[in-house]
Amino acid sequence: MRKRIVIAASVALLSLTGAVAAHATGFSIYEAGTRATALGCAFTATADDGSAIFYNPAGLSFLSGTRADLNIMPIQPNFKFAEAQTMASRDAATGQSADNTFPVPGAFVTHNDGGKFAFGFGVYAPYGLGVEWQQPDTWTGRQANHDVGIQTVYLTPAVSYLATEKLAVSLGLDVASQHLVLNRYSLDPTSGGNAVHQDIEGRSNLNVTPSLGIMYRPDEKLSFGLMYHHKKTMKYEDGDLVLENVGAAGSAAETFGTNLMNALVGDPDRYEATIDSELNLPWLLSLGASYRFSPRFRAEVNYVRFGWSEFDALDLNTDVAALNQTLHFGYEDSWQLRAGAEFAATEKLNLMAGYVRDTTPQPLESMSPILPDSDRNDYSLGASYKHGKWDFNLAYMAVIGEERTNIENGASVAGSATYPTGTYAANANIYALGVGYRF
Amino acid sequence: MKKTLKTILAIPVVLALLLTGCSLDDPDHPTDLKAPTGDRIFANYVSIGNSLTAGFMDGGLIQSGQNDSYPYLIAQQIGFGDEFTQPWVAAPGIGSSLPSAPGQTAGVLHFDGASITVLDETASALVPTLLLAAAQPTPYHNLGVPGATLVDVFNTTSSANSYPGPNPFFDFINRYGLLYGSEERTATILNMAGTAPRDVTYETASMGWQAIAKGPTLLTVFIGNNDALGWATRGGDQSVVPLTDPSTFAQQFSDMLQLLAGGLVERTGFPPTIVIGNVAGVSSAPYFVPTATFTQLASGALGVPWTGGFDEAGASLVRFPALSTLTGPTTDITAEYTLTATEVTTATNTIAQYNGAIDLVAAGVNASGMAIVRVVDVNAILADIAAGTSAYGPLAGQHFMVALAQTGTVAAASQATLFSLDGLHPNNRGYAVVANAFIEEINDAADTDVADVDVASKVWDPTYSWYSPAVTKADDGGVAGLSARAAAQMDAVFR
Repeated sequence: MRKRIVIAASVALLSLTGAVAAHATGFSIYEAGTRATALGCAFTATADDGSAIFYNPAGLSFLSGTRADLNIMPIQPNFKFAEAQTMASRDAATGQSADNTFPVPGAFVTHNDGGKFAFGFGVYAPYGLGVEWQQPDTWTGRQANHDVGIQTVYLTPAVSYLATEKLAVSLGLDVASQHLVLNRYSLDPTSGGNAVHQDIEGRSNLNVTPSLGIMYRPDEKLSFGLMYHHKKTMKYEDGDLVLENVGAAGSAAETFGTNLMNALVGDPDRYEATIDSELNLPWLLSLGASYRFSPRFRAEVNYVRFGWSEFDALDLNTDVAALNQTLHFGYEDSWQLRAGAEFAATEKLNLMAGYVRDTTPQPLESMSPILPDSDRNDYSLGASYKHGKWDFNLAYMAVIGEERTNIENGASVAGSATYPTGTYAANANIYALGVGYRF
Repeated sequence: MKKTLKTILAIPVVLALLLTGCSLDDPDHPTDLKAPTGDRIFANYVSIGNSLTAGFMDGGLIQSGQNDSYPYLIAQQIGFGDEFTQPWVAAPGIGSSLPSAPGQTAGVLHFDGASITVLDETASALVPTLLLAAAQPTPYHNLGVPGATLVDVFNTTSSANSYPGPNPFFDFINRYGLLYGSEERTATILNMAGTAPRDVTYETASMGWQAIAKGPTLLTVFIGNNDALGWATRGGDQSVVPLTDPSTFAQQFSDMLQLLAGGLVERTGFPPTIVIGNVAGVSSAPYFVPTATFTQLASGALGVPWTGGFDEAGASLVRFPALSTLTGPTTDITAEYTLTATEVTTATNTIAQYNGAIDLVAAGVNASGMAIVRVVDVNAILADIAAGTSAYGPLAGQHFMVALAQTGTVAAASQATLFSLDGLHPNNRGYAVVANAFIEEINDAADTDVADVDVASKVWDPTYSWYSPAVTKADDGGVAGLSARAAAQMDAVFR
């Protein structure tokens, strides 16, 4: 019964979130709560609300009573592309992502009756991707992607054990479900027209891995935290691949599409295949230290490490061998430095700010229309207001990606002929709204 | 209290401002992408041409020959071998459909210990089963089509419109037209080789446009031989296969090279490196043997001195297939098998004009900046080999049967000559020599250091001893030395 509820909640949240835009490097979404977001998500050594389920479940041991936190974090990602200029006679292409807003959830319930054990449960979305390009039929990168989406929802029950008054350790189980969508075109090589549209969509099996947390508070001013989420392999067993001949009537592209479809699958117009795949998610480690400089001012720094080297390639296997394909990513492990500070303006009002230096795990070769990633600087602001049993939180984070060009020493290093050569720019605006209630 | 209230009220105002979010500036188009130079031109290699490019050997296409096609060897040397695709053909290979064996397609030739015969044949309906790479949905990197002429490069899409007549090799090598259809387009050709700017048409499923579609950074072009050899292999009869007029050749070559260079600039954004092989003289290939040599060959084949004559007055060169027409020591050789000294001179002068045009057009395109162009002087290299003065020995330019007569063993003869049994196409060693000639010009064009193919390591087995079951067709007809069907196969190589 409990499992059914969990799955039902997962499905409901997936439908709520739609595609989710990555706005930490790779396709991580590190924002699980509004208060944490306001602090640049430098929260591992603090973890003093429900989002501790993600940031450090050992924080549950230092909460009191029963509380619920509900956060919604609409993300507006922007991507732009400018193709490399070559001969003067050639018009270099441009591209721009569609105006999308993706609401990312973060819902948590925690309980600590003052004993040795504290409990919590959370639903959040730590990995996601949503890159939809405008003018999909003519966008220069449409062979690689014109609309991709990855949604990963975690449902994490966690228990924390207060070993001493100063030290807590915790264990969680990250139960994850993922949804993947990828849309792109195959072109007629001679005319360049759209010939076959490829639509890949699938939902993974549930995956369960452990998460760990440690929090050590040697005194009232100082706090240390450690968070670890284990790597995952999301298995897809019955995804869908739909091929459609989309060549304009009477065009060479239509003929190409017809013959290609006939050659590959024996149907000139449309073919549906089942896809099996495995998508690896990285392990995640955060080390944090927090110091309260005065009763009204506190600051925290986190060093975060992602095991993105797990995300090397994505094999898409179908029941037709000729349709099998491999997307090479070759990611490398990456790090983030997160810093946050908060100031108690009044007894009820806290003002918060944060900064993030976020390094990309993506080698230049795999930068593509699927995900044009880059190093980023994030700046956050926010406020929390306590009113009785209620906490209200607001936050804004500006994610500023550095422009990145897949050219080295005058040569394109695009890892695939379908990846255009040029400069990508990216940013994202994250708005967060959170409500907490203490029972 | 007032201060607190102000602060609280200020927060939504600040957040409202923030809600407008950060805008994203348009990135500039990067301009630091440079034309590929050095090893970078090896990122994508495509070849176009005729049978010499396809790796035609022993009168047909077969994987054991294609393995040493000069483009495939170049691809190996430049590190592109794993990606370079060819229209692989399984044994016994694809030669020609012969009137003497309706419904059958001959494979390659082989030496059965006494004669050159057809190795085997395949029912024509089953020929598609020999095409090992037919499922590849994209154009091959090696787009060489046996029998292709210059005008075919941008105009032919299938055997239905090949020049000068139906050429079925287009249908499975240059197969894009049949598979995916073709579209006629128009491009403006700039003033080149004395011509005025004008519009020319081309087919999107042609060999040339398929090459452009693959976006090569390195392109080799070896075309034009059939514009002269087709005529020469018909005994110089203009009514059977015309000798392409040199001015027409120059115009067509200019059109072709400009379309290739312009198309690739449009396709990849940068000037490609194009290495061109020029046209070899007819007397350089042992398919054409001097009358004195033919007399020796005929006498050897008959076992008694051949005392027949040549019907054509002033015969200078004899086509090798004439050997199969001998029915006795007094059989005369008809005119279709001979070239007079005048015809040889005509061919030599015409080819010199072709090569002059190639040099002129190549220099013009090179100077225009549309492509980096180099020309391999295949004509000079083969003339050197034919003269017996090359580093490959005095027999390098001789036919296998001549080499066999002189060396006494198949093993020695097969390592002495650079030509395959059909006398016109190189054998495995010969293609390595051609590849090295191209590599030299590639290195010059790109300032690279690509190593030569080790010619000595290449082995040609004219007996096809590995083919099982061994098939001999010595009863194909004709005298010992060359069966009638094998001779017909050699004749069918050029249309």
